[in-house]
Amino acid sequence: MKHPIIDSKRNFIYYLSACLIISSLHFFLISYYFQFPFAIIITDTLVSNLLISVLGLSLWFSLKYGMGNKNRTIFASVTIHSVSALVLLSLWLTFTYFILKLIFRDYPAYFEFFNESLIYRFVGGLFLYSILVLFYYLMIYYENIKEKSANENRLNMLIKEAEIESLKTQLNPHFLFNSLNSISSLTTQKPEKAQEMVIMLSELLRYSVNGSKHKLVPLKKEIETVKKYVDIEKIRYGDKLQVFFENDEKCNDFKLPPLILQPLIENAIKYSRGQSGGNSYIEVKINNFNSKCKIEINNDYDSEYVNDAGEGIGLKNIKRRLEIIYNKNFSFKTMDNGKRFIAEMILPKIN
Amino acid sequence: MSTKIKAIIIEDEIPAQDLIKSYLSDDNEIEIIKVIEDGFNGLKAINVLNPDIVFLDIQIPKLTAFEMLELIENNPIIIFSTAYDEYALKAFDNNAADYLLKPYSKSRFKEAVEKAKLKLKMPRQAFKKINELQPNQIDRIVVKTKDKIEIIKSREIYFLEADDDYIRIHSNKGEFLKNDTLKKYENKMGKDFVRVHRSFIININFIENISLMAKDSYEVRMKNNEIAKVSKSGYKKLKDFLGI
Repeated sequence: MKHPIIDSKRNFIYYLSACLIISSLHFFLISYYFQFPFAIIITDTLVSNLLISVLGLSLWFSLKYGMGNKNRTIFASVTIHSVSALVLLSLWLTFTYFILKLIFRDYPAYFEFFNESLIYRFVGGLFLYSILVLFYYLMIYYENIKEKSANENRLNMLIKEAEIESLKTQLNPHFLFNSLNSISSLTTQKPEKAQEMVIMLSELLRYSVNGSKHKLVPLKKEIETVKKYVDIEKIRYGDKLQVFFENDEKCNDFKLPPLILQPLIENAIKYSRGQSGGNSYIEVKINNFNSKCKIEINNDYDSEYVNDAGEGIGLKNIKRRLEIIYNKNFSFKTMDNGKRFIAEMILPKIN
Repeated sequence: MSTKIKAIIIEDEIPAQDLIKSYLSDDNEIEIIKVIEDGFNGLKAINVLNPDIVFLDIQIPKLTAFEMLELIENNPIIIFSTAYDEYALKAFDNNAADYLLKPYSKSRFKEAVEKAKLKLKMPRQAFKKINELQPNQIDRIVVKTKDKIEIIKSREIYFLEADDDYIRIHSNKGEFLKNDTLKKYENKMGKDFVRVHRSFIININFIENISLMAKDSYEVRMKNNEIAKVSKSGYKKLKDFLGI
């Protein structure tokens, strides 16, 4: 950790100012109570305060050095500080005395005064020592807090990244293998359709694989991909599957996490397939709504046959992914009127 | 009168249906008599048409393959197929001639068909009930009455009562019998159902009141005015469940 005074321009200036104020105080107090020549008082002031200022700065190092032991009791700390204060102040006064003695050897009256003033110098010095030590402790504490907070932020970032990774949806394996089976069948019956399907499937896979590299994709891209997915499903289910898209161009540039819509549509198809007669009608509606983007996916279903078990997990996953990206600034809800199941998302524009 | 082997395909995806048809096109012994697209119609077809072989996809709409097989009255040889859940198929081991993982080759398919033909020549084993491997969550029970198939949702069930080899389902649609054990349903019907007695699993939403009968034996009166017995341990479980 850097020296809070030496390494900080601002603090150094404050310290200097403080020293000057104390020096002035020192000078005026002596001048007021004693009749010594100006030169003498000035010298006393300068020597005393210069020495204590320097010692004050070096106090930081001994404090930092002694900070290692965290298990110290308060009693021990106080004892150590008392001893160190004693030592430091004694050092200061001794040095001050010897230097001044050297300068004023022919001035005995001065030394009388000096000896008398020792107690005041000591008390004053102790006071300054306490304030300085407090200041140093404050600086250390503040630094610790900053470090803790930075660590916490770093950790939170890591957690978020990991969560995003784990929640990333992949294409459903059922869908993949069923599609491959369809392609296998089409190669003998309708080879051109088989080729079409291979291309669509690989484009879908590419989106799924690449998608994991980006946190956000433009809505336009997601819709394109979803349409490919629906085309593949239409090959599997024929005319029984009808999907209707309503798109608002203003929403095309909205960004959202990849593969958010596809699982919703997959769900819609799955739950609508239990219909009598086997016909499914699904709507995907996208509207610009107060400069936000409203996406609605609804499907019909036959409540007689619908199997509720295991439904929630996929939706929870989607909700969580949206939470991570948008925080609270989005809405995602599902509604069910017994005949139609509706999933609705309202997303804000992100840049 | 045809002596060909009668086969039914139960599969809801068109290309998958076409694939089976095309793989069987050069097999003179097997005739496809029907293609069905859901479990409900599959059940009817098996019971009415009595096929020898059934090509059954696990993922079918309406009734699941499990539910359908619980209710069939005949005993066809079954060839299962699935896109992914290899492990679900193991449950059918006792009853399956073979199982196919999609996509499968013609030769793999032929292998399965040969196994099925062999089984047809041997004395038919009784169809074993699949009791262990059920989905973790049961939210409906399918029963067969004289006239129709009834699908009873969990939330319509007051309680289940054991009755020898059967369970009696008390619901707001009426009372039904099903050839089953209570054990299969214990702990799988969700947070509203508690097994309070060797012979009773109740839906706590339909409890009218609980009364003490003799020492340590209780009774629950359900909202349809019927009684379910509660054992000592069942009572403790019930209290924990209800938080009292």
